Amino acid sequence: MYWINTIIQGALVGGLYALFATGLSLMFGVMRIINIAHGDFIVMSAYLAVVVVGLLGVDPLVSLAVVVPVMFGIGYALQRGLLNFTLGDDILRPLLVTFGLSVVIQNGLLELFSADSRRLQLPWLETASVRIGDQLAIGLMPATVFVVAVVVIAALELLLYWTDLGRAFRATADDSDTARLYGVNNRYIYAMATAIALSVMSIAGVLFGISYHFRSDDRSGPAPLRIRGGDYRRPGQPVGNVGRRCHSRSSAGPRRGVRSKLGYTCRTPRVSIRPAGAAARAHSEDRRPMSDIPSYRIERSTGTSRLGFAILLVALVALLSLPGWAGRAEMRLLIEISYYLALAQVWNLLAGYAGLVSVGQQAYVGLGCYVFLAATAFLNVPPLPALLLTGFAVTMIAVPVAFVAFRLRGAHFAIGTWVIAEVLRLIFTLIRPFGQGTGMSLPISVVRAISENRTARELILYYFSVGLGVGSVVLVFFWLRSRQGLALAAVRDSEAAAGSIGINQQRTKLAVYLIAALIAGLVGALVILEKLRITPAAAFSVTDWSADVIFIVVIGGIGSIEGPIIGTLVFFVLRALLADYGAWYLITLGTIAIVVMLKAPRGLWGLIGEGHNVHLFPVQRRVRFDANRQPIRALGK
Amino acid sequence: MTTLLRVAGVTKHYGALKAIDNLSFNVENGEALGILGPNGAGKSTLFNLIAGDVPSAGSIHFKGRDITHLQSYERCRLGIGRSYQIPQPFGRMTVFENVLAAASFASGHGEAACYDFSIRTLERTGLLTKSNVAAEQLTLLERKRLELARALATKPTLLLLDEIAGGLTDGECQELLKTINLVKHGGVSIVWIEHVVHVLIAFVDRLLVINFGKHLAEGVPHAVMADTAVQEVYMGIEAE
Amino acid sequence: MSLLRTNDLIAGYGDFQALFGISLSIDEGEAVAIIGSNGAGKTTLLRTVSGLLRPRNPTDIEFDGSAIGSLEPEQIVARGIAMVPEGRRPFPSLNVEDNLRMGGYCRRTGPWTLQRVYRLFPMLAERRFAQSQTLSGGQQQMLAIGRALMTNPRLLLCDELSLGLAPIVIRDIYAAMPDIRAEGTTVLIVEQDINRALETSNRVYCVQKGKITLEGRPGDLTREQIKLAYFGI
Repeated sequence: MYWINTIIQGALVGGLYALFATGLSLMFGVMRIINIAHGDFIVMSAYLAVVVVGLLGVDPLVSLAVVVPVMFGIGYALQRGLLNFTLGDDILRPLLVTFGLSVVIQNGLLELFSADSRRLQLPWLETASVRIGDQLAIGLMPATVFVVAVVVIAALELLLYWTDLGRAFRATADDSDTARLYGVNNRYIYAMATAIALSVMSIAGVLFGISYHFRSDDRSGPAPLRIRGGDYRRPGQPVGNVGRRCHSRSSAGPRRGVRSKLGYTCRTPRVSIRPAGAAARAHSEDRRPMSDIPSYRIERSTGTSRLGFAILLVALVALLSLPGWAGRAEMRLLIEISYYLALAQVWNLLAGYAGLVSVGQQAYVGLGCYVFLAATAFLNVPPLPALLLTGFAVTMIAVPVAFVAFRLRGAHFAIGTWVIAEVLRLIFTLIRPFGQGTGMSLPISVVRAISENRTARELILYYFSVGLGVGSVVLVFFWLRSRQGLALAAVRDSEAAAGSIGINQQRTKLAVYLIAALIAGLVGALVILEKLRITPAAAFSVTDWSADVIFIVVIGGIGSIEGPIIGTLVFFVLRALLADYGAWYLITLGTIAIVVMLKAPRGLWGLIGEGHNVHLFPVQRRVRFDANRQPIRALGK
Repeated sequence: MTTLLRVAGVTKHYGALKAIDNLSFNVENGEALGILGPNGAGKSTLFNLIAGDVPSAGSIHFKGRDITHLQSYERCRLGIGRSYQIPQPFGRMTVFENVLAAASFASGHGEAACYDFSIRTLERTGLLTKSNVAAEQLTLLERKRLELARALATKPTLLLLDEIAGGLTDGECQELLKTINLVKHGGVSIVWIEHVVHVLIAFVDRLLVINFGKHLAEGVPHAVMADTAVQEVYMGIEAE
Repeated sequence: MSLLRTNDLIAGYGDFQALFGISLSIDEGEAVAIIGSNGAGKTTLLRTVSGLLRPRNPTDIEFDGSAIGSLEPEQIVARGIAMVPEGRRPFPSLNVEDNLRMGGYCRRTGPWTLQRVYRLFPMLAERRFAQSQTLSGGQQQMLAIGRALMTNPRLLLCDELSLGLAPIVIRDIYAAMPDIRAEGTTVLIVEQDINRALETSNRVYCVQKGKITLEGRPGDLTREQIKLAYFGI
């Protein structure tokens, strides 16, 4: 009987998740928008109900009469006023704007309601149950949720298939241009879709708030897993998500900002190294061509880049000597800056050049943590070889993952990578030797193996991180400067045409994906070395390893090497400035991301540098003809 | 053997739609073949099949080798170059880099080894003065020139031109034609889809007309244009 | 007064100019055909009239006396211009009847109701609940025409009705034209099939490279004139 009970319980809880999925599916189906803030709207609805209940003293279920219309209005305004401007071929824009929204909402709620856990009280419903026979008891609350879910989904089905508006939704999703030919106003339809989606989600949110405790930083479980239920077209499909249990995510690490002792901005190393080998010969050298083409040379660096190189050299010296003149806190800060810089550089390579917008890099960061842990703690591998092993293992794991993930395109790829990361996180919460959900510490023996002396350990860690950060910049620079850089840029600009000129697109993208995985894995090892303790939630945190990184790259400037560097600086400056203001730091970050995405898609560097054709990292090849600019015929040898 | 390209019994389905239906034809070494057909006849599908798509049935042989299941980059390295109907430049790269990428990856040689050749190709196609301009800033004629330059940079034995004259004035057309003529005299075989019929007829050695993805007529230009079936179907004019 | 008039219409896609000054007029009740080879600009012309493309000057297109060049497609259909798009473009997720009902979305009144369309194309009634993707090319064309008619247009724009269809199917489709015109609808058809165009229309324009090269009544034009205007040779 027990298992029947469990199945019934699971099926009934599935109703809640079906409602969650419906809202997300509607937005994705009609507009191809992945609403990252999805979970946050649900929690927001729960808080809204708290307010209504508090003000009017009504039953939470009755508060729906206010909550639903308000969320409807918010959805309409949001789409019409903000999200409509992000639509287009580039999936990054809506993705990032909803990311920004997610951060703003989460932290806004944190400011308004503090981090206390809440629950909507409905005593008579919560504990009541119906007995069937001797051994079966069905809770009335889950039953209500299930019934509500069925009713809402049925209503949505009716809307989609029996009304003009529903037909317009489906037609717009199919072919928005042709739909306009028959009178459909796209902007209005999109707004209605979001309004309805948010209304459904608000119902789910209130029911959720009655069933479980919630907090402002709850993400209501793995949102992306549910989108696999399919498009709006078959709203019944999400009901198939049975047997999911809700859990609250503990917030990943302190979000109150880091206070630096001296409060100065940290300078990140900038590197511009002269190319070696064949490229060096080509670098600013006269070419003696055949007589029918004019004499020319290929310039790889510019005046500004030579200046930039000088500055970077100074910065590098400062960095390397830092332990001599700065304190422990500064070193810690720079360690953190370094690994964000590393992640940002490779994410830029992935998304800005290869066109692979991944929201799942945390999979490899987390794997890096755990592989390093396993190697040192269980296999007794010494720290340095363990590091190499980690890099190697994570890269190897990335190969089959890539083959699966590459079958997906665009928004599906983004979600797919996120799902993979979430699956990994869940797997690691189940593995006993790793301490399951509560995590595991790096054994003292391993810590001692790095060095007996604490100062030495910190130095080693510092130089390793700086090496990783600087190394990533150097790696990306050389990659983009080489022939592979040409291939990447070609694939980014036109994948089909790239194939027609002999570029193996798959191999080009795979190489970049593996590099990104490698760096992320090494960052993972670094994280556990620094924090000494890790939980699956922190290791596979989408906020820490994806959201923040994506913010950095987008604000700094996607598609350039300078961008991620600037972005990292801005990120940490903001964190330092707003350290005392708690959640406002993140609200500001989220808002900036939204504004940048809407107004300056190429980020800060795009505004400053690219506009004036400034390149600190010279990756271009400029042709300079000798004498006049006119091509001269018959020069003679 | 002098047959460069052999398309045999090729069919291509897209779901229930048969875009190409049992089509067969050859292209000889050094010849220029024009392809005509009404809208929706399957001409671009045919090009895609030669350049990289896999047919649902039938085979394609190039230089005696079966390329039916090869990917586009592999076919490029064997010697098939193509231009796109709507130019697909690598927008954020410069004109020089566009051509350099083609020269380098098609041949497999390093960048530096391809600098000379790239410059020469730019000169042949009249783009030398635009070497350092970002491709996305080019005018339509310049983009078409770049399409051609990029295809030529791959040192093709067979060049596929897809409606390259579309959108150009008569004068611009003539300029482009001069370059294409030089290419042909250099020994490159050409297959050319075009709607600007008079340009095509004056240039090609043979014409192939397809309709509904099927072979309709083939032969020397004036004979094909005089063919009553072609006139009926393509131009909708009844025979007199 | 003309129902539709264009004054030196210029339009294009980015820096690709497709129309280089088209001036034509259509009176109420007429059937006008536009012929020309591919790339001549015929479809661009229809897309500009229906609002999917912006002309360079909004006053270049007048419908019933007022300029419509700056209006959105959904506003233009409300005024009474409906388009049967090139390639049919039925909505794949919708069945036949739902596709037709989409035509009724803009809520214009007139003789064209679901029943009236089913009378015109009985085959559609037989397959009213079939997914539009399962219809044959000819049936999809009938569906597309029916859908446009459901908007009760004053002017019906038909873009290449014969595209990819067998002659016998084309014949059946054009057989519906007299009925459509009998209800008072003005028709502008764009065709590659010159014969059909000449048979169906009161007047013909020939377009080549974005300009009008010939204009007149079908009976008044010779084959040679048409060939010259069509190919430019």
